[in-house]
Amino acid sequence: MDSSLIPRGLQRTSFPRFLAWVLPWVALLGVGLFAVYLCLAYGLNQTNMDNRFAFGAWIYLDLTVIALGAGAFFTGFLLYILRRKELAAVINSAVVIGFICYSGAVAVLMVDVGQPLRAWFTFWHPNVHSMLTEVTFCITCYLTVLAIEYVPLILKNRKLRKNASMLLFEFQLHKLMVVFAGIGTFLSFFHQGSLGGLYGVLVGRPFAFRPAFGIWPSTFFLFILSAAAAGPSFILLTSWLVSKIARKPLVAPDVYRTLGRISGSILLVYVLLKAVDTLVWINRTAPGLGFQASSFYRYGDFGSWILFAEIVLLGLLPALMLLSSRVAQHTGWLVTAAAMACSGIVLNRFVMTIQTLALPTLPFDAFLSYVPSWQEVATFLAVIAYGVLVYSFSFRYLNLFPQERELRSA
Amino acid sequence: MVIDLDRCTGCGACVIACAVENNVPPAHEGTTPRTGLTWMRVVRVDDGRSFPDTRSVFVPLMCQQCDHHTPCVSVCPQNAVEYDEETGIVTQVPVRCLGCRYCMTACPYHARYFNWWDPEWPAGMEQTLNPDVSTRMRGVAEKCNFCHGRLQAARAKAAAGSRPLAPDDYQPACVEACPTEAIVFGDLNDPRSTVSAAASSPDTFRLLEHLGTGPKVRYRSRSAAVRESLTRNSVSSEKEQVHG
Amino acid sequence: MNSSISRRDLLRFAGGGVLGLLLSPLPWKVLDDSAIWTQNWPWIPEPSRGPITWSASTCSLCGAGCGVRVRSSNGHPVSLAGQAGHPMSAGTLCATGLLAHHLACHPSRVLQPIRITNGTERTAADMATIVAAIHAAHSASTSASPAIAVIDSRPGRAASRLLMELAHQWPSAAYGVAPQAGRARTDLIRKHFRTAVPEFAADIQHARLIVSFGAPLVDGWGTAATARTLLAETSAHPRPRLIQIEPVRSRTANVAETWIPVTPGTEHVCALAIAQAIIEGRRMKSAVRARAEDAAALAAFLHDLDLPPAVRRCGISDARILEIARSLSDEPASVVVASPAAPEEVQSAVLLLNLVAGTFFREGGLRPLPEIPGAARTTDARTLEDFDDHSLSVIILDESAAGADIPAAVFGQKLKPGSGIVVSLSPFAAPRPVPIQYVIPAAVWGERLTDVAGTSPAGEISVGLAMPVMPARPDTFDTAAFLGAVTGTSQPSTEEILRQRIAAIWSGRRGMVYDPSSPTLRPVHAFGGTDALWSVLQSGGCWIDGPRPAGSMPAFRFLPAGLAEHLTKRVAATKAATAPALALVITSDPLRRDQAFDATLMSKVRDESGLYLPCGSVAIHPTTAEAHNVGVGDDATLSINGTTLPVHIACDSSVPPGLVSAMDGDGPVALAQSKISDRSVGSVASATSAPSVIPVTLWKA
Repeated sequence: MDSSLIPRGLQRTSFPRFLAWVLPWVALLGVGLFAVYLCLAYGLNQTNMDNRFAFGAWIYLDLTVIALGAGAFFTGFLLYILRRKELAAVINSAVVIGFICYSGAVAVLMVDVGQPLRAWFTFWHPNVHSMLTEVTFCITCYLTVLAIEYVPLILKNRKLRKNASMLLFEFQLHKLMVVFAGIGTFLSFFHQGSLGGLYGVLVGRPFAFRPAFGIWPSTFFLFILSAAAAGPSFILLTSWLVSKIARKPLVAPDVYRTLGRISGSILLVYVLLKAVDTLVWINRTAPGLGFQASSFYRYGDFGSWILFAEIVLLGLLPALMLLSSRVAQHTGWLVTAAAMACSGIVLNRFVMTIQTLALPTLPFDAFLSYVPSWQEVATFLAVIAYGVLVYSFSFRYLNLFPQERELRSA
Repeated sequence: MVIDLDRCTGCGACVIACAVENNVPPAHEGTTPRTGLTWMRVVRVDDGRSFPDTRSVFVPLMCQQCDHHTPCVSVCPQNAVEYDEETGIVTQVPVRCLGCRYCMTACPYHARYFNWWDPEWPAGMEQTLNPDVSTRMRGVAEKCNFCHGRLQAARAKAAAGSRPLAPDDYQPACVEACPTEAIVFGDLNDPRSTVSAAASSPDTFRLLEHLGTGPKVRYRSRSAAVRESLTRNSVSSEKEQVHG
Repeated sequence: MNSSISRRDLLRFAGGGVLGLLLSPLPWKVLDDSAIWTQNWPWIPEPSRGPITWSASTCSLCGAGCGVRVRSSNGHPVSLAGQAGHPMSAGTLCATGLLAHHLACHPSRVLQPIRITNGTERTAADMATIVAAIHAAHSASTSASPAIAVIDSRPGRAASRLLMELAHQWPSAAYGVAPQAGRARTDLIRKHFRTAVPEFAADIQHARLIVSFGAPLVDGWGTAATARTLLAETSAHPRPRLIQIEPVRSRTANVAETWIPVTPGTEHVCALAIAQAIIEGRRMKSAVRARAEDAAALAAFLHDLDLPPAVRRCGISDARILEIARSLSDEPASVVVASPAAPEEVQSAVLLLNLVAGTFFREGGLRPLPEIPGAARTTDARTLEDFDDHSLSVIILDESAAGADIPAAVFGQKLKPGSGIVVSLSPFAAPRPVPIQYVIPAAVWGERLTDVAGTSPAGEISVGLAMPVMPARPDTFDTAAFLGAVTGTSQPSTEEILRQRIAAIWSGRRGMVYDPSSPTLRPVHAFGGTDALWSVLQSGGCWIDGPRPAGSMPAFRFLPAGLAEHLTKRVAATKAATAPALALVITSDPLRRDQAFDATLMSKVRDESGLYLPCGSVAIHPTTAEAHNVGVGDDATLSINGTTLPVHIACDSSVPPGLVSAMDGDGPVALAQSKISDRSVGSVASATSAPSVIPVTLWKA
């Protein structure tokens, strides 16, 4: 049964070894699901969030995985719309990663809200002025698109292909993929931006507030750019990681280089705009709200080093590395640079979600810290376990890397 | 609403009256000041001077009923926060609330509270619940609405008398409970009202005025040190820290 | 026609069915219903909506006598508010009083007699067993000293008379009272006068200058109207000057015009120094000097005390002392008050200062209180401490009205070893250090008729009725019913005793009656008789009587027998004392006046907002914390006289460096106090009263 499901021409590890790899993740997922049960049954008192830290580890997770999952839409955009054919080598993997990231984020969001059964109220009584409405609409729609993009991959499975109607369906879907990629790109641009807007509109949080262009604050655009930059880097990183774990080449080195170049150039644009945005914020926005920007960096461990790390160390540096042809010659360096670029975005999302809430606003407020409860951490890890599991099964039974066969024979 | 800080002793009567009026449940075991449900709370603020010149001021803090740029109204994804154009009161609709807590992150005054637990009353205490206010459930946000139940009752009474609602027809529970009459409530738009007179006094100020949220709760104190310590932003507090 | 159904057909049918279902209204219905369900969770109570009624009553949680407006729905109170215009409380109600209607369903409520073993284990008890135990003690008693102590937590109530009568009927029983804050002071005052004088109250309402030695004036001094008197400002009533002399920055110190931090334990020195400054500045009024028998002796005594070295320990400058002396003698309407919890030397020194400043018998000063007609005098009654050691078989505590707490150690000291029992008539059974074996369920506020006698900020006294506003729980007792059960005889009901009291008021024809329905204040004689008075009081009104006419100051002595020696000893002790590493200042919890029970919603100002320091927490200045290497939220142990107690550390910049501020109340801190007042423990403990200042050592746990 197992071997009959594995795509023809691909070599996969033995089933017991696969099982040994999968089981710990299943256990982790199980613990996480128990934590989810506790939160749903007993309420959010199971978390360490509070009235000041109303958003916690989960929102941070959501923002981060959605940024990293941006590889799906951006690769799709490059491949189907801009016709960068070489990216066909990673598109399947990118779609799976996107699907994992988005479905994981939506699942966590359902635990994070106090009344999950009322989630559909947003569609029924939408407040069009809310960034969260935009996010909810786009993410649910895009998750549907990702699911549709994922379906042909599954249908290509050896076993399912035996069914003629399935094959036909897959073929028809494939023809439509350009349309879906287009819709996905459009939706993604919006919700990536809206996630940034989520914090940028908070006039009550002078640390996060940014002036608006039209109806969107600058973080809207910065989030789109940063997600577009992080996406390809994350694809690069995951492809490399999978090939290391599977101990076989999966994509040609020039694909890595292409991904690196794309990521690097967008990252460079992002870093420059982020620097301009930060300068405007320091000199105009924050003082306009009655706060001196430097005052935000006086508390706890959140010193101004964080700005340096975000913009230079994990921004400008990896951007230049990814663009350097010398670095591109060494996959190791390329992967390091991609990891740094991803870390920079992860740090940016952390600053936006956690530091914003930790900082005082009223003159008599205190700086607060927050440590997630085990239930929060377990749910967080369960998303990762879920991702690893979905990816592992997809990798074993579906053809995620079209070049794998050629590279094997070469 | 204008709150005279010079008269506040920090006795907490307003906090208790508010909880009774609005059917706010008692603390669940394990509740801390960070997870408590206090539509109104009194915060002690030191004026920043060193011992023995130091004084504290007790600041009753509730929803500041922001005006035009109400941070919480615009962020709610499903219109569970409403702004009443007639009264200018910002109201939470708990039965429509999804519990996403975006409004809580948006509020600079930390005046919104989340039901981390299911509300629980000791056996028999449900008989003491105010019939004019619905109880809330776990997983939704709530906050001060200037005693909406009392406003509705006053409206009904005015309607029964076939007359328009007069601004002095009702007083929120905290105003009524304050033993030193530190809180004045009324129609700020009516230039003849007591509250307008109090609000136009030069020693009146608002919290975080720079943010432009236009809160309709004003504070006043004759002490310049108190005014300074409550309106200073990080610019001046930073100076203080430099001086040690 | 082939009618066989293949597997594929079945699958198709099922698939089509599922698709069809998705397009049907069913999913929407499920979605909708689930959301509606979240809005109507069956386990969340909804208020029962019924007709709203208003009534008026009097709060009986403490002895202040505030007027209450009760809003009821379906015949059950849903909220309380002050009665605007009430002569005692002027529309105010404190945080504790606002929750009086919640006490009936408090989780610690007792609804049947219980037996407590090992301090915490509770089992249902039989009323007959308890009564039998009391009777056994009664009949077994042979010695001349009483075997049963009947301790009244709130003397002065109508029911107090019944308790006294029981003690009168049973030779083996004796009546006693819980320690009364004002009593020690009244005793001290009487020593100064040769002729009998009544009790005195400070007339805060008319005072223009108040010098307070740690008195909690805005925090539980009579009704909350006192705070309004001190803080409200109108052209007719400008704010009085308030000088607060107190080691920690209490709520009163915080709103005072001047707060003078004083070294704890030196308040008496400060008061004596001010008195000396008045005398040496020749500022003593001629009227005072004329009535005093020993003005010269006082001057000599103060001179011989050699105060300056002791004053230096107070931490108050000579200029400050001179300034207060000048203000006190210049302002005719001035008064000096002390915290009721202050030790005897402070009370004595403050009285002496009042005598020197001539505040007695003056408007805005110390004014003589009238007496309540028909009320038994309890000021001479003994307290539990006055009984012989190990002489009591039974201590009956009437705690149906909350009163001052009796230190736990006293019980063990007075009970017969091994066999003595303590029976408490109380609505609640919360864990406490007092060794109570039996609790008889008592009614709470609003369940049964009781009376409240209070004193206003202007030094008026009042009598009001706390009316039943909700159905009483069956099997609960008030004092009269309890005594009926104990004696097996029919006792007069509370209503009957109260009617007798009202009749006495009517026949006295003194004072005024407040009628909340008008609302007006009319003289007693304007009413038709007892019945008219009774019905006004039943509708939430009250009888009040103003201070006695000023009259002239009787002859007095500044230094009655023993005072000079006592003060000399205490001043010498202050001079000799080595400064402790840290001084502990215990303040009583203003929300627990008369040990009133914490309602559950009190969590809003305690756990949920931290507005009040929780019991078992101590607050210290950040620099002190740093110096002793303790941090916020740390668990630490506080050692006092060899007793170590677990405490939580809170950092508070309002606490002066070198002090530890703790809130008295439940838990470890209350335990500490009861141990300290044990005469046999510790050398620091004052021999006469619970000291409020103790040198402590603070250890990080």
